[in-house]
Amino acid sequence: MKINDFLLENQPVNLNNCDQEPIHIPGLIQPHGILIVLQEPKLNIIQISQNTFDILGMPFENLLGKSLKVLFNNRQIRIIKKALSATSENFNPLDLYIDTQDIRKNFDGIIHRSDGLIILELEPIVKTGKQDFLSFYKLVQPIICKIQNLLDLDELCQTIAKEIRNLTGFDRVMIYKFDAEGAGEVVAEDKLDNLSSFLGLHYPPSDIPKQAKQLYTLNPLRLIPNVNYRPVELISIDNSAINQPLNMSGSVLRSVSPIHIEYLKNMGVMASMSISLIRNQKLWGLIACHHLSPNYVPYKLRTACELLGRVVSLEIAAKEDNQYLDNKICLKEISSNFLNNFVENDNWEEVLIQNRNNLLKLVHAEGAAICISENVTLIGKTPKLNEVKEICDFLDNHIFKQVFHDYIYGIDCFSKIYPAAEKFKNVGSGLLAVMISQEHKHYVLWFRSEVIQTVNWAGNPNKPVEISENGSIRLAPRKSFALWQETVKLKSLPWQQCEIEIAKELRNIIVGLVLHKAEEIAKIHQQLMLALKAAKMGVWDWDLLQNRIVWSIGHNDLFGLVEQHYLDTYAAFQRLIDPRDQESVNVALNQALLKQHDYYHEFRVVWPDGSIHWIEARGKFFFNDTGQAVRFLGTLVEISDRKLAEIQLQELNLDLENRVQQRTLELENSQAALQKQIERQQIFMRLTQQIRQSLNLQEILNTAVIEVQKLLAVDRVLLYRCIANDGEYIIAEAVSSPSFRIIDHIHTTEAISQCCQHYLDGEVTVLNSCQPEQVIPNWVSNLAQNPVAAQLIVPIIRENHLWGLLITHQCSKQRTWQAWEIDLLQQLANQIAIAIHQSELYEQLETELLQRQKVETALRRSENLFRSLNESAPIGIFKTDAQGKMLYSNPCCQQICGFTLEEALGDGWINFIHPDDLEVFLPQWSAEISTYQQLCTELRFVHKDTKIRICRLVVVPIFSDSNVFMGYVGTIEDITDSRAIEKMKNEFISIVSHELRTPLTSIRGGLGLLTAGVIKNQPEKMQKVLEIASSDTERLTRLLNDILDLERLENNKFTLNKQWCDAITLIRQAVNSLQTIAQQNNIYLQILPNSCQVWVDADRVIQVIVNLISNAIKFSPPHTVVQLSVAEMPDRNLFKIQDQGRGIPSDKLESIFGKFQQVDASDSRQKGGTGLGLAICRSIIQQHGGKIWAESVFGEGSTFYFYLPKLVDIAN
Amino acid sequence: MKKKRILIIDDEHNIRFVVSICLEEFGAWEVLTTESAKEGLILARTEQPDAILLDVMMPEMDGITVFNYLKSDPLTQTVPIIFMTAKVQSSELQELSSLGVAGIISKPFDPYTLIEQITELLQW
Repeated sequence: MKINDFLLENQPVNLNNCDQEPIHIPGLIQPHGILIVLQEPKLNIIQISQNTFDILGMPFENLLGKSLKVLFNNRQIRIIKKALSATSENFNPLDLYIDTQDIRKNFDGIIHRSDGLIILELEPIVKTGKQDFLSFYKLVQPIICKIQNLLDLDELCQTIAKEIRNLTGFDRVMIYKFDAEGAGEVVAEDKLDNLSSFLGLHYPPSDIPKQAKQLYTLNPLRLIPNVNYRPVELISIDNSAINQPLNMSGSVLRSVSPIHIEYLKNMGVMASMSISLIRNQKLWGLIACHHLSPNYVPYKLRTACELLGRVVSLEIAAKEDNQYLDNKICLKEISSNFLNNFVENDNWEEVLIQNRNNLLKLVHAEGAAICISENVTLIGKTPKLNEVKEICDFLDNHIFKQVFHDYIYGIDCFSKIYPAAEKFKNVGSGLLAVMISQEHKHYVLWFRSEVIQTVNWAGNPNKPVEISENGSIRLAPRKSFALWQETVKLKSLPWQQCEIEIAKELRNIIVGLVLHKAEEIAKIHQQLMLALKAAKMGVWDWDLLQNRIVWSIGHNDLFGLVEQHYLDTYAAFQRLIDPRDQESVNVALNQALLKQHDYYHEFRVVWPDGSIHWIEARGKFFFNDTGQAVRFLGTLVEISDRKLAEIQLQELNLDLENRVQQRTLELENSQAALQKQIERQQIFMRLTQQIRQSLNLQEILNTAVIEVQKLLAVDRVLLYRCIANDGEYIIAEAVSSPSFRIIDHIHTTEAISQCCQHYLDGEVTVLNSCQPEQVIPNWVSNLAQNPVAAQLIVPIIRENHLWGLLITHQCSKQRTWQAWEIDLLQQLANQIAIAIHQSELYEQLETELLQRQKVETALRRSENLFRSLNESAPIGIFKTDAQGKMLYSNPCCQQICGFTLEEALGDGWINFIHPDDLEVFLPQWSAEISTYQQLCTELRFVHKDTKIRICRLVVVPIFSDSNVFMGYVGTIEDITDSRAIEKMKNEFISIVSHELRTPLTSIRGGLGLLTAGVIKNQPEKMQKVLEIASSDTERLTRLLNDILDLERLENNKFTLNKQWCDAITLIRQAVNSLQTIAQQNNIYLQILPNSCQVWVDADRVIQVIVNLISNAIKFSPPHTVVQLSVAEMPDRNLFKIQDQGRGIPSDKLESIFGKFQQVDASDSRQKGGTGLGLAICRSIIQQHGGKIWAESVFGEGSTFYFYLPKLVDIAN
Repeated sequence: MKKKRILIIDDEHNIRFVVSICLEEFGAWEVLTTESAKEGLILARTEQPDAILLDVMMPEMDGITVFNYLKSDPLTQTVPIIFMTAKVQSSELQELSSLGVAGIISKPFDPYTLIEQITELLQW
């Protein structure tokens, strides 16, 4: 498939073209590994990547159509088959190897099934320091601990970016988060210092096309080690059964979309890795890793990153939930604050204005307007006053009246419905309006500014279409990465659901409290007005001088008189007055007249029909200059209604008072309820934290039930575990009294399996009063003493399976479950599910860790044992691989061969073999390696200081359990010294043999002559022959004696018979025995007299002195002196034998004490010595604890010294 | 036929004496003897013996050196040389035989056998 074929023909190129790229079936892979498609059951290779020759040196034609055995041995095939029969994919990677022509290649084998076929991918193992699972496991574990302890989402993202970068060495690691439309934002970043930061940049949805997102969900980790790779084609066998392209969704080597590659190249990225962050089965975001040069990450390390991705996904979910809750609680607190203020002050607009900051905070607005009819108060950033008034009119006429019939309206693009809003987009692109009173045009409005200032887009999301030179059309994504701002015109940040909820709540509070009260008062006013209106009024003018009274029109009504009936005198008026009040009327009048103040009086009149009516009279006296009252003016008003109204008013006031009191009570209750709700939420948070504090499953469950029991004060809380097809049981229980305990009475049952479907859908069972057959688990009803009166069941769902049920029972009495209780239990069930999931994950990790630790400990112990064995072994030990390359050598081996561990590695050790031996050894060695034979040979090793060691080398081949040749183990023994000893022994034997055979030759020859009788007629010759035989026999005897003496001395078989002697006596005895010979040779033996006691074997010391004197005589010319002396010193006695003979060359002064080491070999013949004399002397002196040596001036004479130590210990 | 002449070079007087009697009495050969290796070299040139019996272990100069001198001298290189040696270890014998000698006779030896060995080795 050619790259351009990715774009379908005749397809208009548009922004979302990537969406149609068939990236899951490219038929191409990246070249850093091999992909093999296998058909079961025989595992025949039906499709293979073309690069087998590059990696294995085997042309793909030789492999295609064959069984997999063409690549792997039986043991490895077994491993692969075992992996295929496993239920999970946890076995990946498999440790596989392929023996190529010249070398064994090791691979990470990754295997999975795709559409009924098996895909086996081989990635060559690249040696890196981080490869060992144990070591990177140690890397991962502290990271998990660290992120678990973080409370903040941003901090979590930043930390994981940093840790992933530490682990993988990428130049840049970013955390993307996708919004609802699929646009990405870089929320965290860790990078090389010299790279420019992408933090805070937004990426349009088209950057990561839909099907790529789906692949990210399926396949949580993708690696492109080198974007400049040449894609490798997959080749099928001709008669292949597959006629549709291979689905490579699960492939780790899958080739990447060329558009994506170009995208990466545009960013200067050479290698990339991405790890999916999944929340609720949806792609929440990505961990994106970029490298400016090629970067390969081994499979095992990728697995670790993937694990971290999973853990982070879980943490993100938990932290986002917490963040949402925090936010909600914060808003609740603000609204409760308002409530408090309303209780104190019933003027709501005043309260809102006083708390202007909270008013804005409540819905995260930048401006607000409080509209009371035409009276508008502006807070923060808002449109102008007249604009706001127009908005109110608009809302009044078009929104609340006609469109929604609702009292709240929020929009993040106001100009869409209200074009005039464009004028004030800077402050009013988003509007949230709450109608308090339609009738009175009371509104609260909130405003948000245009969002354009807040979003940074990376590159132009409108990808330009590019026409390449050959005329084909293709997309060129993200050519420019300069900061570019998309015109998200006239739009604010959207109003969140919780913000809308809180606005509603505020509105309810205001309307509920204040407006209601205001309307009540208005109504009372109206009633009063009506009462007054209904009152009929009369006016009188009384001329006191003439005593005439004039009444206003309508006064008849006041007195129940018919028309034209005039009360023109006081007496006539007086007659109408209720007799009870006549007196008081007179008094009041007289009083007013007397005191000259205004007259006011209420009195009753009796109508002609006999009915009595209340009248209120107000009047004023007018006086003339003399002080005489002349006129009395006043008004009369019937106040019967008023009186009635007053009574009614009093009653109304009483009622109102009651109602206000009641309302206040309700408000207080409502506040208490709100407070309770906040408390519950806090309890829920605390519970969640407690549950999630532990990683121990049982502890989590126990905490959960105990806390729920305490919180809801129920009699029993159960966690009921459901395992599909595997029974059900109570896993945790908390009870209010021990008598309610049932966990110990109930065992396996299958009560719920059949009816669990509705639980799986998250349904809750709420039973306020419970029949025995409704109780779950149903056996509870069997416990007669524990009837269940009410029950509440909430399912715990984990990964779409019913994990179990959270059951609460009220045993003693029926109970009406509150909505908040149900809600709380549901939320808790979710938290428990998360905690279980985490716990299981950690348990799994812990078990694995424990096992590995055990294995590690055992390994370490065994390794220590073998290490100490190896390192202290007195023999050299080494190991090579199958190619004969040195892998290990122990200290003894290094010491013997003269190399260090490092120098010997690989073929290094060969360089230390003596070049002469190498000619023989190398062909021998290479023959060994090909035949796996044992080899035993001797080799010389040359040390760096040119010292040569002779070594015996033994190597044996070693095989793995599966009989695969692994290499060699060998021992090296230093035989240099034993060789030298052997040589000395041979030389000694050779000399002894020679010394014995020489006299024997003349004896045997002479005897032969005599026996043959050829000289029987020559008596002189006969005589001479006999003499020769005789003297050589003596020589032989002497020699044998000396050899035996020496042998006994050297092997300590000789017992010294020590006694106290005078040294001078010993010297004299020796001299005496040699006096004759000395005289024959004209040598004068001189003794310097000095006496001292020595503790010695006298005979042996005399033997030494005799030997030294006779040597002196032999090698001294006639007429010379041999001087003998002994000197006593503090710790020793020193003997000295000095001659004037020929002397000893200085290089022989030491060696003459060796066996057969005469200065001149002919001396033994000429001088009659055996060549062992001085060796015997040295042995005797050494046995005495002394020392013997010689000094000499060549040609002038020699002096032999020996000393014998004084026996200080014995003397003491 | 001219009498064969044999030169004996050995530092042991007793051996020279006994061997010369053997050669003269049994082999009826003419015998020249010397205890000195250097003198032996001179005699070999001047007297042109038919064979040389050469001791191996001698002071001043050992038998092998003498042999090498003789073989490198055109005047003496054709003279067959028989080693007489008291060194009889196989490694020592091997060393001598590798030199290309006419024969090796181990000490001690029986006089009659000596003559037979010489006759056989030199095919006289």
